[in-house]
Amino acid sequence: MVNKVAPNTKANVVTAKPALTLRFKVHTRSGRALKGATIEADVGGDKKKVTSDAQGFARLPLTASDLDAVGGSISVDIKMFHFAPDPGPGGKIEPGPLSISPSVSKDGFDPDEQNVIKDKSGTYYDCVLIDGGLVLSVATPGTVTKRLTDDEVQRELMQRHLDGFVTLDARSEFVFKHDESMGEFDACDPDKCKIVNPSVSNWVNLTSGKVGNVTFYALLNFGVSGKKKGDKIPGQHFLRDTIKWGNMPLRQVDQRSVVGIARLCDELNSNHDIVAIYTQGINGDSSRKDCHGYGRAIDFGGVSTNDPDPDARTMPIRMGVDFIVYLHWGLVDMWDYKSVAANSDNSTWTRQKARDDGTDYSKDPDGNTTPLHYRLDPPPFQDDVPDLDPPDDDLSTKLKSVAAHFAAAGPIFKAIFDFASSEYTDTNSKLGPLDGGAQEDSTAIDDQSGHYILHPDYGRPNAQGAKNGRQAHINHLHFQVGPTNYSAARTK
Amino acid sequence: MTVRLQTSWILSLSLLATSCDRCSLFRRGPPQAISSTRPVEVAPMRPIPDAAISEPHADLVCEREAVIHVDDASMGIHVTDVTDLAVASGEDEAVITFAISGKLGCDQDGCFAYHEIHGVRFNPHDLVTRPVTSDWLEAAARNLPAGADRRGLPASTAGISPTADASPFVLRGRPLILTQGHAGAAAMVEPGTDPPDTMYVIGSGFFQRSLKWFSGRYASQGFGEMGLAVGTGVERIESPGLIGPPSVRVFRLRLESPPVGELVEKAVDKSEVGAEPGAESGVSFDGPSVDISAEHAAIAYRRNERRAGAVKKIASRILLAWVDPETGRPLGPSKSVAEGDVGAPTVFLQGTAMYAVWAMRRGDAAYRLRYVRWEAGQPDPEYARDVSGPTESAFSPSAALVGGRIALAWVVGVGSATSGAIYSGLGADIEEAASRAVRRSPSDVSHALDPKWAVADHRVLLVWSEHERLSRIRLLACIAPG
Repeated sequence: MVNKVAPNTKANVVTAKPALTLRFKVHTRSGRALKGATIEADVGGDKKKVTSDAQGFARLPLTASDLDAVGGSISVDIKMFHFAPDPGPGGKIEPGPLSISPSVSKDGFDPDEQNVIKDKSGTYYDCVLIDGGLVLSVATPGTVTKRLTDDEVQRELMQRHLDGFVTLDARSEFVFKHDESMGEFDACDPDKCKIVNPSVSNWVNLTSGKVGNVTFYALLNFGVSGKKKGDKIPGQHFLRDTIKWGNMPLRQVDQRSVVGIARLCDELNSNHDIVAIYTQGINGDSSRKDCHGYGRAIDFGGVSTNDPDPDARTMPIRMGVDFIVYLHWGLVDMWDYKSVAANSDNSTWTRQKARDDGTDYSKDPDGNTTPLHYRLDPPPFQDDVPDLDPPDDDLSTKLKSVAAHFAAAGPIFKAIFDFASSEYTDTNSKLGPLDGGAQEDSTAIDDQSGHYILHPDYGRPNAQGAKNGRQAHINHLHFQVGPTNYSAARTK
Repeated sequence: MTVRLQTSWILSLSLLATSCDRCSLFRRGPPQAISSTRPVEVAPMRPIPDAAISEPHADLVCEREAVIHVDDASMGIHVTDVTDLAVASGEDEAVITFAISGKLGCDQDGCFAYHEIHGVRFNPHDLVTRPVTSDWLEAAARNLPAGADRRGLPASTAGISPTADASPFVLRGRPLILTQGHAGAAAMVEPGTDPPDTMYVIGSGFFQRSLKWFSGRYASQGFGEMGLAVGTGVERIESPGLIGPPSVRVFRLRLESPPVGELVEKAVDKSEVGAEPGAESGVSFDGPSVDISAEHAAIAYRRNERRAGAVKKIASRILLAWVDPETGRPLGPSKSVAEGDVGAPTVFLQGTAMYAVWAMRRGDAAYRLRYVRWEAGQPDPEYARDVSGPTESAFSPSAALVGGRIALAWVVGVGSATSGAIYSGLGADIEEAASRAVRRSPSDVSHALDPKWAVADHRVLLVWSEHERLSRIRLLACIAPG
């Protein structure tokens, strides 16, 4: 460190006593403190240099004469080997120093200026750098999530982080080891800039439950109304249903699963205007040795085209907005397979009286005698709304919304299933490219046998004493990347 | 000939949702029906065929044995593991609890069972085994919340592939079982069901529940009318998907007439790191052990810390603490007595002193048993020392007081970490018990693990699990003459 304070004589120590100390905090977008960053200030033509400590703080002492020399603002370069100023989401990484010229007075930085933060010790300048290794990020949209190589998984995750689509937390963000034979700000070479964190076998945390334009929420409970005497149409009770939701930060999620989640959010937001996903479980758990514990599975409970009301944790269902697997799929009676088998004209089909009689459709793989058909196709509750006496325009509008809601629900849930069967594990639990680049055929939502993606129309019922089939998944779609079971719980 | 024991259930229920969030009092629910049961095969007690085993030795005479088959045929799933064996014995009745993991024969979500708890009861007096039947658990069955098919002991599990924990203990001579079910996947609390991590105390004609914001594994012990359970686990916080910091808690167990028992938890140890909810603190607690007498109560547990960059990624410590036998309140800070590669401890009281025994190894050396003594009222334990015994590779110790003498059992490693033989002995002190030990597991069994004692007066039960081609639990009924 070079510090051009006056020589340390007894007399000069007195005269060189700092009038103030400017503080800088250097960190990444995720908040990871950067130790060893250089802060070089131009003080009237003299260069003063300090480095950041383990907490990312650097302290630059200025004497009264230094303050006079800088004349109200100070030019400072903040830099670190192979780092760049954070260009912001989607910006281009250009390794080099972060150059700033904040106002300075005898009181320090101006707390009203951008990037100046006040804490109990005074003000400090907040400096955000980004690792130049992130230029190696690239998405591989032409390959489905389950078939990405590990390297492709990490590069796409980097890309999502760089784009701001997801934000990895300080513990999870990508850290590189840069070959010191390279120039200070040379462009990163994949052979010389190596990822040291996170290992591809580690799970990661996001700073929130927000992924792109979609926010994840915990689906905590349902309020199912049921039919009431006096209802004007068969589906009127759906207008009275509620859900209870909670916040859901994404933590301990497998990196490949994060890539899949990001793609899912892209798909649902782009094609269906979805902004909220409700889940009964997406985070890993070090006490479980299955795909959920590994952070490789999603229990997908529903979606919304508007975020839930933050003041109503128990929220009335909004027709045309909230599409909940349990309420709008699982609680719809299944088709009576006899009627489906008897006639291809779906207008003749009838529904089961007990909603689900427990038929094992996998025993009839071709569906000749017990055909399984997606229960939301054609959509239920398309009944005409009768004229109300006395007229009630508000209620009539609400009643009409039921048919439109179910007309929309079927395609949305099917789109989620189709996405999952393509991107997530469906028939083959291997991760990465298949031998010889083999491709799998995607499974239909009403496939007779059912594979790794479970949902209310799964082909197999629960085995006796188990929750491994259709009835156990009446309120969510389960999808995963990789196998279900592991020999040991995941701890990192 | 085998006896068909029933350890699993199919329940049909409905119960009003409980609303007590942090109450400490067990509550009872309205009775409901039990619909059916599932069998487990248990071989009856029989004389021990191996003369070397049955020969009186060190005053501990083991005359009879029983084998409980914990395999695919008896459990109804492909059993891949049998763990957490525990036993408690009253005068006329004893219970064994254990956990199994297994596979249901398919590969999708829900096809795997993880730490599913089961129980077997038997009569230690006439050596006639009896099933954990619907009548024994009838009260529990009547009070259990509604749900679909259920396997194993009653527990507050929820969701898909949940885990559960069980710990047997004896109060007023009655064997009881503390259970806690945990959340599986998609663990939504349905109307009429108890939330996961609700604690149950079940037994013959007895069922109580208590909601706790703690999720853990337990060891429990009763003395007369007093009982304590120590749990190692994590604090639960309300935010879904997040868990709180790791901690150790002691629960007070009571039976009253009419039975209204209670659980009162006292935090003994909380991680000093990871206070941030949901953060990966790298700290965990496990291996709980507890003993209680009229005047004293002692607990032991293990603290594990994952250390980034360290040569040994996991560093563990054995901690001991005195707690009030009446209230479960800690009487002082926990004291560390060992650090490094240590196994789960076992603790017991002898007079005014507690003893803890554990396995430890240094580097690649074999595990050795070590023990420590801590006199009540003293600020610190004495120095820990090695148990000098007839074997070198020793781990998984279990110790109990039998008529003033110490019964010590452990596993002697045979080659791999999962291979072992059970040795046990009785002596005036730990050293003598170890020096007088003999092999208890049959010579043709090479994968015997997890020995546990249960003592009722001079009647001593020693159980362990055997993991040959199929898994089973072997039970020795022994007598320690006056």
